[in-house]
Amino acid sequence: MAEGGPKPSSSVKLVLLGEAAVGKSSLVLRFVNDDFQENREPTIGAAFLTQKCNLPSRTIKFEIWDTAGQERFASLAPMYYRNAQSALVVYDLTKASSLAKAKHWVAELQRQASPGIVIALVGNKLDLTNQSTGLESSMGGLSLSAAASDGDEEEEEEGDARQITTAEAKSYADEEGLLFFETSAKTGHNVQEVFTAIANAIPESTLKTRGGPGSGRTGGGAAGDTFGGSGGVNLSAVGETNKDGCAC
Amino acid sequence: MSRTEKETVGNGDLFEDQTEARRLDELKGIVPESTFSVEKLREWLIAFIVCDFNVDLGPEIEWIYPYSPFSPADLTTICFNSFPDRNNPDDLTTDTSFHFRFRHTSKDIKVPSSELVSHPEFWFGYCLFRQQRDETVKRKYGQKSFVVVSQHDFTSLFRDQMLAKTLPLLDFSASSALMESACAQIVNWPTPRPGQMELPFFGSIFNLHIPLHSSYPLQGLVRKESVKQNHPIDIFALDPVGSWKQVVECLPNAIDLYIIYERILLCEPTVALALDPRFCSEFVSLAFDLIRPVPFAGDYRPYITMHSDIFLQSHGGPNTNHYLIGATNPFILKRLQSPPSKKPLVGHAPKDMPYIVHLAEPIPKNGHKNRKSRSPHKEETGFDVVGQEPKGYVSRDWAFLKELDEACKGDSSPADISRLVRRHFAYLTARFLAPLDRYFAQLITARSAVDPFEYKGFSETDFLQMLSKHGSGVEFKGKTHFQRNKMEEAFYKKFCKSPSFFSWLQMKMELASRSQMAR
Repeated sequence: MAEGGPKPSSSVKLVLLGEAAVGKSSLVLRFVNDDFQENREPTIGAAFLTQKCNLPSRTIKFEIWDTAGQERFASLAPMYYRNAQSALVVYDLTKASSLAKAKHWVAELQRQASPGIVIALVGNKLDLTNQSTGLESSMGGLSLSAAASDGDEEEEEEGDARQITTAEAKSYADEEGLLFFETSAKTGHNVQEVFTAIANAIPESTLKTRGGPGSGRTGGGAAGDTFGGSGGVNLSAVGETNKDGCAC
Repeated sequence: MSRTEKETVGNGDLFEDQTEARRLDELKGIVPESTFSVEKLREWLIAFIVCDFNVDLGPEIEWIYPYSPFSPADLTTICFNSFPDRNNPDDLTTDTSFHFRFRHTSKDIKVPSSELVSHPEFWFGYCLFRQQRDETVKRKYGQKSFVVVSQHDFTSLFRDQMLAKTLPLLDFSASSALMESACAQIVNWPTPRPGQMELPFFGSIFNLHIPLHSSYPLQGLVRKESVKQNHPIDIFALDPVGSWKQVVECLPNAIDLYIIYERILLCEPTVALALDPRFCSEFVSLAFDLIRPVPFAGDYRPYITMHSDIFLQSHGGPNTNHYLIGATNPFILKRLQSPPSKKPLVGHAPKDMPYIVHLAEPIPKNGHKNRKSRSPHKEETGFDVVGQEPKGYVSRDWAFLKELDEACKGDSSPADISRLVRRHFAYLTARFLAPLDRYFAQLITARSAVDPFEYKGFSETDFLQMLSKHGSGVEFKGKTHFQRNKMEEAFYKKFCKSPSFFSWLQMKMELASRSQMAR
């Protein structure tokens, strides 16, 4: 990406939450190193990684706190989402209980995290469903909602481990005002898109002041608009920036 | 009050080697295996320990993570020094953080050597003490201390940032997961080294600054106020903790700062007696910093209890008469005075009596207080705590004292007041050292090559001759020129005979050989 001059750069704290073994660390590994490992060891406590994301108008440096999903670490989560500007709540779309856990995290974030926090709901392990191919051009929620119509039929098909339909998760995400994606850390499908969408959804006002929680007062409304009603518009913008999107 | 001094004193033989060994075995069984490199962790710290105060048995180790074969003596020291020696009955529910230092005997714990650790025989315990109402225990209060044991004197990192600001957000019941998570993060930290390091920890990023040499904590560091609200959090590893503001408010007179300064500089025994371990440990941290770049050559203990290892070394007394100690239990003074002191002769305390800094409560500065009448601990101990009443050598800077007084009365922040005090005494130390530097400079230039070991060729007579010729930038007390010169000579003589002089020389040699190696 050719640069005219230095773009404004800001740090954004991002926390990953979700049940054990849904693929949080794998999503981060795909995003940061464009790599995938089968059967990773469970995360202890949390891992910290950074990755830059180049947007047309600015550079976002993600400071990623990849938390442990195991229940015994759950009480430590507030330490990590404290002052976070964004969160990625992950579930395994082949495991029904993981969405319930994700909803629990979303509720906790809405109750206790910074008011302006941008939350993305991510269903991972798309590669284990029949939708794993043929949707490369899809851009997050847009085309997935179309795909959802035949979700029920597909569940019957052989080799499809899907337990949570796109429609179900999508309608929940819309209700709560969350960004929504279905991803595969294994194939890399939609992984960059999630982070780019989050980067775009972070209100510019909170970045200018380099603010965390304190400047969230201006962020709240703006963030709401972004992932609320005008979500569709925003997501198509995501698609455009995607070509030269995140620096990896 | 759940513990009194007497109770604590009586628990001396609580940890017999056998029971302790058995307890350790039990602990080994319940502590999860560490999945990380303990060696990497030990570059920063040795272990996390949770101590629980059992009303019937006294302090007990509840957790050690990662499991570490501490010696029974060390465990006793850690247990007893991790709890306040006395309780503040008005303050039952806030956390207190403090730190202590001890000479360890855990031979089976291997700690990687580091140029940042100048006294590997000493370890530090950084504590977060918490009491919580707990209906299930006797006296309805549960008391726990969360302790970080480390070889590093990084009080601002471990105590202020890690324990006092980051971990209290959590419930102590999360101990095992908490310690595991903390270790998992710390093993990914870079090896500690001079410079700036980014250390992620529980959702925060610590921006740790370690100076090139512990005597020059500001050298090579860029200090700017952090504009960003979120992160990173700037931490200056060797900065003292606490503020001089609180100390000045407790001193009968701010001119006592000069006495404290001289005592520390000459490495003479000094004890700070406070009501809580946080304050006395902060005082030691501040006083230690006051004489930089001269490294304090004595034994310094930010907080000791009756169970401190300092009493084990010789029979009932510290094995050195050069110490700087913080304590809350006035009976400590009795034990420090070996042989147990009799009432000193009129007006003359024995030479090895410590100077006592009473940090009880703020003293209104308007009335003229008779210092002799002040012994706030007399009533509770039944003996008169009489320490040294040194007169002092260095002339007071009234302009500074006025500025300090106004700053304390006004709305200056504790940080500003600390800066003011530190700057004043740093400047005083620089002026004090100038004649010595001048003397060594002419020794060195007399030869063609710089040989750091020329420092060994020090002659007190030559130096004093040079001093009387050129004088010192420090103003000494005395009505006449002659008296002032006498005072000056006496003070320099005392300094040259003190361990401080040797620690300072050693540091100069080390710096000189470092810069030679860099060539």
